[in-house]
This record gives sequence, C-alpha cells and structure tokens, in this order.
Amino acid sequence: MKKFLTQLRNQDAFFAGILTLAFFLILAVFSPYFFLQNNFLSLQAVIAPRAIIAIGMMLLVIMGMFDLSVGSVMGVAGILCGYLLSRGVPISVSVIAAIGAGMLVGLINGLLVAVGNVSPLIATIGTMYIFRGICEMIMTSDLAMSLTGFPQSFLAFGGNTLYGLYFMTWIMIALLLVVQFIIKRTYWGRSIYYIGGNPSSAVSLGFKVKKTTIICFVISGALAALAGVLSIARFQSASRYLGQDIQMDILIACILGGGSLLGGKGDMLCAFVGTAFVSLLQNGFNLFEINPLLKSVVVGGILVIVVIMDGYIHLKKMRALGKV
Amino acid sequence: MNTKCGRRRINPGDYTVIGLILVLFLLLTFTSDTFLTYDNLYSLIYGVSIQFFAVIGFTFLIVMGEIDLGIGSMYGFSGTLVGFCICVWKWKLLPSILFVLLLSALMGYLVGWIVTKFRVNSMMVTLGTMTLISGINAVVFNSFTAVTYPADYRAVAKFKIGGIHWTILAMLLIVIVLEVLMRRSPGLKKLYYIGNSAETAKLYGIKVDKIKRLSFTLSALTSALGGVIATSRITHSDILTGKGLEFTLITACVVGGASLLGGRGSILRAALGMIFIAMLSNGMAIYRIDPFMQQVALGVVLVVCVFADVRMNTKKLG
Repeated sequence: MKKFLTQLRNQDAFFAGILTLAFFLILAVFSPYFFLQNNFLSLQAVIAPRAIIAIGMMLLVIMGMFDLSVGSVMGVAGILCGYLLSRGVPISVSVIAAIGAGMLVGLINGLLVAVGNVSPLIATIGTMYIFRGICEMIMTSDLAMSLTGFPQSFLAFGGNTLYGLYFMTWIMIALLLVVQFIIKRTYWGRSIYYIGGNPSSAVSLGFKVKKTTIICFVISGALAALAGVLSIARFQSASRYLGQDIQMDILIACILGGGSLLGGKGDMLCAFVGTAFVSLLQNGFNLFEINPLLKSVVVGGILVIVVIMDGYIHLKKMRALGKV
Repeated sequence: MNTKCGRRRINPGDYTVIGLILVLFLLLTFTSDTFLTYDNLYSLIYGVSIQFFAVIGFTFLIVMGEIDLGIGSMYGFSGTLVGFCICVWKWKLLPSILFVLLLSALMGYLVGWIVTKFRVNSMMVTLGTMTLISGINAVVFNSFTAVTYPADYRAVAKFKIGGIHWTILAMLLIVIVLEVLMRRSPGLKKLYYIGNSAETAKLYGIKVDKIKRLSFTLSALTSALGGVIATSRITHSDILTGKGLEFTLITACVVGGASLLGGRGSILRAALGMIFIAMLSNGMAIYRIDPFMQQVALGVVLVVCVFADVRMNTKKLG
C-alpha cells in the first residue's frame, strides 16, 4: 500500500489529478445539471479535440519544446477539409488531405527547429501568424459562404455516439493509450525523455535528436489537423474562429497537468488531466453561472501556483543532492 | 557567444534591421505617393513611440535570456485600471497613474521574485501571469460602463513639446541614453554578462538575482506606462489593447538581432525593429492589402530573419 502511494505521489500528474478530481466532485455534488446528457456531450466536444492536440503538444513539452502553431493548423486543416467536402471530394481523401496539410506545417516547424536551429518559440509563432493569416483571408472572402453542405456520413461521424461517447472521444482515448504506451515502453518513446532531460548529452549518447524533433513536430501538426477535422464534423461548419487562441490553452493545460517547459517531465495522463481540468473549470463556470471572465484569472493563478510548487519541489530535490 | 558582447567587434547580423528598414523605406517611397509625407511618417513614429515604452524593460529581459509574456496583458490592464480609478473611484488623474504604475511594478517584482527564488522558467511563470492579468483586465473592464475618459487623461498622450508629441522625444532620449549606457556603463553591461552565462556572472560577483528582479519590475512598469499612454491616446478602454503585443515585441527584438538565448540585443535595434514592423503594416495599409495578410508577412519576416541570423552566426562560430 505504501509503495502504491509513493508511486502515485511520483506521478507527474499528481497535483493536477487531485485538483481535477476535487473539482469534478464539487461539480458532481453541487450542480444538478452536471450529469445531464447534454452537459456530458458538450463537455466531450470540448475536451476531445483539445486533448488530441495536447497529446502532440505534450510530446514536444517532454522534449523541452512546444508548438504555438497548433491553433492555426487546426483552423487551416478544418477549412481545407470543409472546402474539399463541400466540393464533393470523398470523405477519406478530404480527411487525409487535411491531416497531410497539418503534417506539412509540422514538418516546416520541425525543420526550422531541428535543422535551422531556430528557437521553437520563434519558429512556431512565425507559422502561427502565417497560417492564422491565411485562415482569416479565406474566411473573410466570398469562399467562406460556400463551405457548407457536408455529406451526411461525415456529420454522423461528428455527431453520433457509441456507448454514450462521441466517436472523437473514442479516438482521443485510443490515441492517449497508444501514445502513452509508445512513450513509456518503446525505445523511441523513452528517447524523448532522455532528449528532454539533457539534449546535449542525448546527442553524445547517439540519440537521433534532430530526427526525433522533426517527427514530434509532424505528429503535433497531424493531431492538430485531426482535431480541426473532428471539430468541423461536430459543429457542421468551418468557422473563422476555429482553433483561434487555443495554443495557449493547450500549453497551459500541459504545464498544469505536470509537464515542464524545461523538458523531461510529463506523460499522456498529464496531458489529459490538464485539458480536463481547464475544460471542467469552464464547464463549472457555466453551470454555476459565475462570471466567465473570471475563468482566465483562475487558470492563470493556478498555473502560477503549480509552476511555483513544481519549482520548489525540484529545488528541494536538487538541494538534497547538493547540486545547487 | 562571448565575442559578441564586446563593442569592438561589429557583427553584421546585428545590423540587418537597418538594411531591412532602408530597403522597405525606398520601396515604399518610390512606389507610393502617400508614404513619404510628413503626416504619414509622423503618425507612424508616434504610434511606435507609445508602444516603445513597453519594449524598454522587455529588451533588458531578452538580453538576459529571460522573457516576460505578461507585458501585453499588463499593457492593456494598466490603461483600464487608470480609467477605473478615475471613473469609479473618482480619483484624480495623477494619483491614479501613480497607483497603477506602483501596482504594476509590484506585480513585476513578484514575478521576478518567483523566477529567481524558485529558479523556474520565466516563460512558464509569465504564461500564467499573462492569463491572470488578462482575466483581471476583462473583469475590471466589464465592471464599469464604457465611457470616454475625462479630458485631463486624454491629454496625457497629446501633450506636445515644441510641436512634437512628448512620447517621441522621450523615445529618442531613452534610446540614446540607454544605448550608450548599455554599451559603456559597467552597470548595464552586466546584463550581457548574465545573458551569456548566468553561472559565470555569478562567479564574478554579479548579483544576478537582484538584477533579474529589478528587470522584471522595470519590464512591468514600462509596459504599464506604455499602456496608460496608449489608452489615453484612444480615449477609452479597449479590451483588445495590448493583445498579442508580447509577440510583436519578441518579433521586434529578434528582427533587431536579439537572441532568445540571451546575451544579444540592444534598445536601439529593438526600437528599429518596432519601426520596421510599423512600416510594414503601414505600407500594407497604403496598398490596401488584406490586414490578415499582414499577419502572414509578419510571420514570414520573423522566421526568415531568425533563420538568416542563425545561419550567419553558426557559420562564423565555425
């Protein structure tokens, strides 16, 4: 039992997990609407795309990087998919094209960071600007009006449920499990942690840092595009605001969940718990009819506290080892 | 990296921004009638001079390899809060501004304290404060009805000395003084030493933590000052004031040759970077290019500049 508790305590997602659980209980006990099916479904539609993006973001966070272009990729991919579908292109081709576009953006990011030695902040802010600008240009032109009339089977993909969960939730669960298995159990996955923990010694130990960086950026782009496709399937239209400003939410969720921008920390549980916490918070504000503007106050405050707590514990550990 | 802070060695990468401005300036001058008019250039510089306040402290942080993502929120929040003090609490103008500046300095100090005390990544902390402050801003903003602020507050940005807005003169003065000080004075050169290697700087007896805390304080203070003036200029509070400003400032600093790893950058080149960005959007406005295209252009410029800079420097380092 004690061993189990220590193991539990050593999880990166420990703090965030407790916070989320506590918040979940508060919602469940005090709000009569929380367990209603409508609320449950809308909660899923918020959590699932974000958690899918958070998977890619968490891979990068573990490596000590991040991707601020995910929101723009989500928008571009959603719009591209919507465009192809409304022009009568088969669903599979449209979806693959959208995800391919996301992978392409990821590849650009990855090449800039790994080969071009540009800092991830700059590279991804650059691509964020570029693709958000393209999104806005498309959606403010005449083309935007024609992005409707998706095939019924595509809409069913976003709106239908299986055992009470949306398809996108199932996709999210599957992806979380698969990626968690990869990063915890495979050689390639473990190498991400080594690279994040100490990039220069990872190079000298022979890990393929550049290749891994590029692959992770490509995954992040692909998952953001997938989230965009799932969102337009759920909301039945490609919106101009699709994925706008979502990157900061996702990054905050990953750090809240237990990741660290210094790298080497975090797993998929953190990604999910962080996203779930931020989304539940939003839901709670709606259910209790609290001023929604307070949400970012609370999220920001909690983020600062989590970062301080994380830093304090790390510092204490380092002091105990005599490294400070 | 050590060679780059000395003033004897001129780094060509540091002066790309001047070349960029020249090229853009000539291009716009020859291809449009409206660009090279006194009014247009004056309003361009006036706009930059207000945002410039926010970049002062930010440059100090960038040089040290730290970052403050909260300045955009602080920029918007300070203006709103001054308005709140005047309209709701019925304070006089001067006490309100002083109160807001003091409060922002306190917040900046707190961020610096957190960063140095717990040795955490400043980007993570300020990501939090950015969200926090923008949330507070939204709450305060919505707690009083939107009004045009009283004349004395509106006059702050319009105050002129010798026919020129005081912010422009202040910008010139600050750029010259700080640029000289950052190159010559032992006090401010410490920023570069810290940026190159905080550990080494500490071994040489530089009070790294204290300087960092002061710089975070300064960063919040100057961005709040800029925000107060910006709000005064637009005569009312706008929830969008300062939105995305941190990214614009990062772009400006980086176009001006700063590195996010620290040890490089200067106040003059940061100001030039801001002028370049302002010119870019000005030129696009003249040509009636889609405003969203400006985002695309900004992104391309940012990436290309950094990429070129990295190429040049890696080649030189061998």
